[in-house]
Amino acid sequence: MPLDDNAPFDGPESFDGGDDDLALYVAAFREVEQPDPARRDANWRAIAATTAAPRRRWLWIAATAAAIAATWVLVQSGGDVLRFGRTEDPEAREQAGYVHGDGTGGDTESWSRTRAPAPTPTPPPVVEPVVEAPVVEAPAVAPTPVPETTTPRPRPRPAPSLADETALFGEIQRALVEDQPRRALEAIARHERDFPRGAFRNERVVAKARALCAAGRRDAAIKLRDRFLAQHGDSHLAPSMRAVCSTP
Amino acid sequence: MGDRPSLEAIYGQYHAFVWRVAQRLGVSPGALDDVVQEVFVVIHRRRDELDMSGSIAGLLYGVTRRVAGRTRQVEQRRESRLSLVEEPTRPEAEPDPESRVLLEERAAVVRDALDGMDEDKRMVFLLTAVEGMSIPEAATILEINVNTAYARARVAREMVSKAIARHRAKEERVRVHATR
Repeated sequence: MPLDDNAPFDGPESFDGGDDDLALYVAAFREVEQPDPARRDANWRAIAATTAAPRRRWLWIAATAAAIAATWVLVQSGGDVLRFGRTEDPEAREQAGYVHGDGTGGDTESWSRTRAPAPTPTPPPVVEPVVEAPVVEAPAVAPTPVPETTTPRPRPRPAPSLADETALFGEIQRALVEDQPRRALEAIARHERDFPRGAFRNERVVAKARALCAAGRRDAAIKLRDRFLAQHGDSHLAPSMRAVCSTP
Repeated sequence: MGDRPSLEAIYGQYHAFVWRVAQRLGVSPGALDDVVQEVFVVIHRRRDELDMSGSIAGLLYGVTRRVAGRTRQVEQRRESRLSLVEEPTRPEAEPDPESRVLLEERAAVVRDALDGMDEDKRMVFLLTAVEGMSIPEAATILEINVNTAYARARVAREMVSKAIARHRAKEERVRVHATR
């Protein structure tokens, strides 16, 4: 029978006919052609790391925006602290002991706290040291207390999560893929510091051996490789580790 | 929007499908993981614009085909590349090596037969006989006429059946020889 795309079509029933052997062999094919579960998991971790990155970026943007807003509020309240008692009423200003350098009020930037008496029609020389004003002549109006809510409180740094570790490990992998062993080693060092017993600690060792080898540090890579294989010779990572620096 | 499945759920259900399709599209073992990852990353990044209400397998097939095609082009220019994940690992020896060998042999017959046919027929066979899709569904995914899909499926099936028959004949010869 000619094996031709244009062969006449006999209808669905001609295809659905039973063929035990074909079914048997296709079942075997399906059984054998299965991705390795370890690779499947490793793939998912890499995907999760990649797809988590944008979310982390948005979080970072949101956190930055919040920080800017908090700083703005702080600056505003800090300004209030520096300008406490400030009012638009000139008399109140005077009562509060605030005068402009030239004694006229001026703009807000040139306000200074002097606790000086009310200015006379003849202003004193500008060079007069206003800080020398006696404290006993404190104004009658008490300064506005600083609201407690504006006091910045240090927050404890949240513990690194699995998502953080996954993202960092993804960074290591990307550096390796992009043939950037130094960058990979830097990321590995961070992973060692932040996740000494992390979920990817064994993968990290393999990645480190690869990075060392790629960076030309063959002795260190081979030493790491051999030590790993001595301890984890039956690990699913062992074949990958054996391949590290395997060619001269 | 509706209840669209999560990426993790899609991955759990279709990882093997994408892996097999990419493999049969000629992606080398060293790049297979990269392709599989990229397919799901694309699905994730474009989830808002993709229509998830239809066949997800069809969606994945289309993305896999594009990613695999691009990867094959890159592979032709670049000889080796570090895999994003671990190097291929073959499963450890099964407790029942004899039946495993039998399975491997039969799988190899199908694999060789698939490798011997053009991509059009191979994909129809893969989607229907291996992945269990109906011919009309495969035709939709492959964007071909249903009759064309039936014709390709029949030809592919004949090719695989002939390969099986040859293997059976060889097995029989070995068996007869062993009993003498």
